[in-house]
Amino acid sequence: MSCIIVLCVMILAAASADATTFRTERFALRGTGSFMEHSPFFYGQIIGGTLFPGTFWIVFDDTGWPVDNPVTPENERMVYVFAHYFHYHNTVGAEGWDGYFPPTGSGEPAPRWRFCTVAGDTLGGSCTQITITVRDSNANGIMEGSEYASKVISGNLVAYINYGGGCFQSFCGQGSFSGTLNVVNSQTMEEELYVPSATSASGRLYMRDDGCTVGVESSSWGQIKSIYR
Amino acid sequence: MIMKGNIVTILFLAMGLLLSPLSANALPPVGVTLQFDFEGMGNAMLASPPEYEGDIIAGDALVLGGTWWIRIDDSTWPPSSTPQARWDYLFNNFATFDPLAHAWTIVLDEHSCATKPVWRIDHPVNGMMTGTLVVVVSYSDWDVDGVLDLNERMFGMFSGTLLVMKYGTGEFAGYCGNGAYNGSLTNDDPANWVSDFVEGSCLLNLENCQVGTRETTWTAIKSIFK
Repeated sequence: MSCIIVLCVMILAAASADATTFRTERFALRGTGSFMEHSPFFYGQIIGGTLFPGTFWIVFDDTGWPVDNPVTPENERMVYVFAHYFHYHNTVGAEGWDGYFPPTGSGEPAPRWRFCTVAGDTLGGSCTQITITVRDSNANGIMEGSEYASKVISGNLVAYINYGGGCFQSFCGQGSFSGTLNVVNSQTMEEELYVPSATSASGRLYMRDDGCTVGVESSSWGQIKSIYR
Repeated sequence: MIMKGNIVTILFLAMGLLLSPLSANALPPVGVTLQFDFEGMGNAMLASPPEYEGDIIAGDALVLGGTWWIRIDDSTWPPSSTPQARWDYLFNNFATFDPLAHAWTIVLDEHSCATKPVWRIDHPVNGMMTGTLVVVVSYSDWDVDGVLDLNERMFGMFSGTLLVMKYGTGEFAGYCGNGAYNGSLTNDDPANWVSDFVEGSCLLNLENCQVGTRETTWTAIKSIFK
């Protein structure tokens, strides 16, 4: 009898050692930031989903972006962003600009993200791609202020094990989000990132505690971590 | 006499409201934001042209109960009769590997396809709307061997943005706008090219394009960006 019990314990122990735990998390976000900042940093609240309440940030890599020269009529920084990341497509009735961060195949650093819940759980990693689309409402091929002011945004996420903390320690995973990116202050070019919604969170993270590898931390990532943790 | 005139006016107004074609779900004149969840199936390897389609399963009443599809122009891809060649073509030409994230990302747009992918939503009562979209799919390299293994192709994430064209019908007639979506895809047997199951969420910003677009000059955006 005791042999059977020992055998059962061994089988259960082996099974639990091999078992992968999966977690599905949902989130909704509301925060602000600006591409005029160095670095473009969007910070705000997790307003819904299983990770609510908490805070988030997403930062874009602005290596090579010029600063705006206040004495010229152009905004050199935004002109560079449009030229480097966006391309125009002229399908009749669906004219607009799609911006890819990073540009496809460029090898440039991807945007990075981090979530911190009030309960003390943390998640973080990079965005394999963020897509921003501006509709050319009057189809004239010129990006006007009102058009830029109402954009949509989406992205795919990778969560690294080394940024998982609290209940996510030893977890890594994949995710995605979508929402709007609208200018809320035309003077400062502050924009609001909104991923709906408080009552029906659309952001997704699929986490697992098996097969996780350590993401490579860049120096800027470390600086941001130290500032905003 | 004046009182009689007032009563007649009130009756006319009441009749006007009763006979109004606007339903309870009618779009407001300026515009509206819709949010909904969807799920469906599709097979980009065996179907030509690839079409993912399904149902809107939760969300705003204007679209809840409707169906959706997206269609991808595969005219520049190898034929669906050779799915392995088709996959290799897509993967070798359009998949970008991120060595930090250990993930591949494939973008389906007017560069990887002959034309930009298109989408459509049909609601049995409220009408139809359509437009173009960008599809971004990511797969993780779980064993970090630099090879996208079959088991790694069993689960992926997707996201993208879309534009709404003003060619809708019913409640959506004359409305245009933009939107974004995201979700996940599951494939039970990629070795045998079975269909993907997809589920996700979508947000649409609709505005009335019949009232004319807001006119702003390029000079204005410069001043905004200053």
